[in-house]
Amino acid sequence: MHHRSRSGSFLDPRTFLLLLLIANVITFSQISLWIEMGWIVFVDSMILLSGKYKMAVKWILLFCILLLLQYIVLPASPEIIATIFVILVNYSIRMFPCLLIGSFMMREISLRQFVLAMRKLHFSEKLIISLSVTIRYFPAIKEEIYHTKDAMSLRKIKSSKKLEAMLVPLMMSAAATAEELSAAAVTRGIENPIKKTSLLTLKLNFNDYACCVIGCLFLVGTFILK
Amino acid sequence: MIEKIRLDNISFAYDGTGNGKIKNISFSVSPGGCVVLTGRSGCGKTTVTRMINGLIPEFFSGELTGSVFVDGENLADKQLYEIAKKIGSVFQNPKTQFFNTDTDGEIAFGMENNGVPRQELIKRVKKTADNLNITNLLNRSIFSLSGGEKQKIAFASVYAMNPEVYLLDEPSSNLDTDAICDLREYIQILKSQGKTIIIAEHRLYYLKDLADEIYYMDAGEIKHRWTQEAFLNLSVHERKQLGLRSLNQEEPKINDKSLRNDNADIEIKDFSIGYGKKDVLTDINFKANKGDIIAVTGHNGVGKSTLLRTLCGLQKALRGNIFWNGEVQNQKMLLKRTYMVMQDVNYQLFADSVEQETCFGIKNPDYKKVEQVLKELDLYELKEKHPNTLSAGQKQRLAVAVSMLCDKDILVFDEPTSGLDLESMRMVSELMYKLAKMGKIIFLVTHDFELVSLACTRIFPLG
Repeated sequence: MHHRSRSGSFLDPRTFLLLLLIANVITFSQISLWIEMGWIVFVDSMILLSGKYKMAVKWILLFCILLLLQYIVLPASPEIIATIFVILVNYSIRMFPCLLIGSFMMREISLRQFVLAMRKLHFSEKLIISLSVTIRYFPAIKEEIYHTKDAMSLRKIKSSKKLEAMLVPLMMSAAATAEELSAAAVTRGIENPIKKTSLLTLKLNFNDYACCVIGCLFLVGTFILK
Repeated sequence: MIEKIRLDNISFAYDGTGNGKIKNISFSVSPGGCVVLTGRSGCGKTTVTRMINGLIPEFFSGELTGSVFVDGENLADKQLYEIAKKIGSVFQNPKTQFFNTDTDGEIAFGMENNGVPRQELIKRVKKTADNLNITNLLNRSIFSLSGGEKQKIAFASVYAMNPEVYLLDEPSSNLDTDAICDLREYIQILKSQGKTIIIAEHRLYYLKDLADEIYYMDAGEIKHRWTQEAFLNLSVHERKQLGLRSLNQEEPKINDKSLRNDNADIEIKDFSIGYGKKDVLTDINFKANKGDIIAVTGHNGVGKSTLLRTLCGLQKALRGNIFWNGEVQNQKMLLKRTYMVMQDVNYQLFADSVEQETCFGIKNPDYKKVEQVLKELDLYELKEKHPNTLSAGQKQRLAVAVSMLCDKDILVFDEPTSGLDLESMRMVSELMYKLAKMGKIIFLVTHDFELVSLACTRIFPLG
């Protein structure tokens, strides 16, 4: 993937943040399905262009299935089933623009790029540190759940206790992990007030400008239709 | 004599708990010196390191008297980030020392915090990787690394900041023999650069010819001070009396004490293990009887944990069978018959008291049996306590208690003595004897050669 040589991603994290903001406006203004569909085609093409073919196909298929359910299957199904699923399907379609750009961003942007982007946008250092620790913690949770699941399978635990059994070790380790992580961070100078540097560089290029322009067109479209 | 570091009559007690207290600690380290603090678990050696990197009193609060000087300057007048420029710290848990998800970013992390310009960052990351021989780890996701590799990256991150003093807090406790060997080389590099080094450690074999001085701590005080020569001249008897680990790392010698007969209680036949289509190990054959304590040995990555998980029924074998008294065991039967005491026991403790833990999730617990088992494992006095407040050894015994109440036949221990001192290690081996006497079969994955020599009746080499 030749795009990756630059700063490692197809789009700059700042562009992603802008697109995420626009997706939110589209989602919550709820004016037209056409705008929403246009947005999904746009983002999905970006995913295709970045070389993530599998991901692009998966998401567009999912969207088609949701549309199919909403307009063809559910109106034709018995009332009970329709009422149960209509809200779920409807909301999934509504949230789709945000979900799509969000998951694209998660795939493309590393934690480090994200931190650098936030620094460039002058977010407060406190917010950056707490956000990055939170994001850093997710993969650790995954690892812990894996071990806890093993531990549970080795014991006869009745189903009513399963959730508790999952959460207790997680909570216990969270406190210790937080303390050890912070100790490691402060002994490596995270509290230094000097302007921090980064191994990475961020630079906007053609992809970013093009996506920003298209994104703004969607924004304008949303307001005109309103 | 010029001093790099001087501790001047330091006493400290953590707020709230009475643990890790230290009393009247005074010593100094000259530039380029290497001092090892040793002693039993809980003797206060970690607390002393926290005084020197400033985590006490800023990060861990408590009652402190006395002062620490670095290059003649009192640390009390300094901010943590200022101390961090001079003193680099490496901690014991490789999992909780990194902030980035990729290795390059992690090595650069400390330098970025101190505002080192980008060109210099690139140069120093590369130089660090070259010096520490980890260029193969660059540009990787940290989550794909082994514990030993993570610890190397944590070390590299500190090394890249180029501090004058290195503080290592039980750096070997989660490492296998090979990784400890690499750690030893790193310390040698630091010595050749004239760095000052302070190490808190209970495992001494890899440090014995690197340390200039060894301080022995007990109950928060320095009880003995040896030069390297004097330390090496300690008799085995003296060493054992102080509860210190062996100074030699010899291949364990075992006289096979098991009753080998044709009627094996457990037989592993033509066994292949792995994930999906990927074979990790093939054609494993092994027989064992009740009462055997079997050390499963082999290098990192050879498939020891995959074998344990398969043996416990947590994952499917690719080919082959396990027989219990001649009867083929499927995954479900294995899950019922086996129990694993994990390296990190915290994952398997769920309840809010010791007693409740033993009957957690069981429909009609037999309280008489609970009492009996708890007494047998010296846990009865602690039955009201929260599992989280127990020591590492006590937690382990609690997990064993659970296995006894579930009537498991086969027990699997994953690195039960990582980070334990001599006495705790002895207690683990005694526990295993007890279980073997009850007719359990015990599989033990460990890098601890001392434990293998002491406890095991057989060796099951992999790879």
